[in-house]
Amino acid sequence: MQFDVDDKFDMIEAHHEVNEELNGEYDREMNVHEGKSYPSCEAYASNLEQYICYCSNFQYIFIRNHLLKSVRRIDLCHSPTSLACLDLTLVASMYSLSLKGSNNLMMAVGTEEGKVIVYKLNDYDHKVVFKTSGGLAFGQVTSVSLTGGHGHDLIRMLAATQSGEIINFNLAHVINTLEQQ
Amino acid sequence: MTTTIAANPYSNNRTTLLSAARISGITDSPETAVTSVQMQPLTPDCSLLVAFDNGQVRYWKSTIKDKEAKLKDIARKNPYQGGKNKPPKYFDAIDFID
Repeated sequence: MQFDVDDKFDMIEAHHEVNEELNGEYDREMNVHEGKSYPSCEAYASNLEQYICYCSNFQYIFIRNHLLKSVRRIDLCHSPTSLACLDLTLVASMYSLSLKGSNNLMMAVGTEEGKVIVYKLNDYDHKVVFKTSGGLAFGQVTSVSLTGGHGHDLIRMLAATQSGEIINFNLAHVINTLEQQ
Repeated sequence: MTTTIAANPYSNNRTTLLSAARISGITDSPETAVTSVQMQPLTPDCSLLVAFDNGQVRYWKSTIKDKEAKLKDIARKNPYQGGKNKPPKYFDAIDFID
């Protein structure tokens, strides 16, 4: 068996490309990031076509489609620290959801500010479906987990914080929001 | 990227063979660290997603070369093999004179 590089993506380069488009000039911060190391860069393969990546130093989530070689950026206004995904197509039949487009995902992002933001994503759009209020968690969110369970509990989310808490969220109302959309 | 598979020499249990693979040549320099790694279990030919501390993300896909692909590779490396596109032979005129 042999592994071949299928896709290469540079988050710092993508960050500066977007800034160049917005500002219309070369970003002088590019030199600042050269040679630096960011130990909080992480990537998650959400499905067969795309993966989601982030770096805690930038307040963005990058969604890379490695088949189409396209990149999408979600502006967070918070520094991401952890990420979890749930493929909505796996739970759509269970909860009789009507999904539009392809690559339908539910994505939970834990932030340095102690908030957890839940997004619904598809090929062309992203929407915030749930957001925890500030002050609920002490310290930054260190880990997030999303599960689509059977029975009465529809979708559960666990968020672990820097102060040693684990908060359990029952996202039943999120399903209702998704059905309305 | 190359993989080296070896059996665990410290394993006492001979019925189950624990194998380990060292993957080398992922980064361009040893100073770049791997910050996250994920394998895709969904595909039969599995894939590898790795993030580095310099902000780069790379996606590897495994390929199992079949016989036809191997033959094509051999033909590409040695184009004069197999009769087609043979290199021209040169003779000296003096060889034909007794």
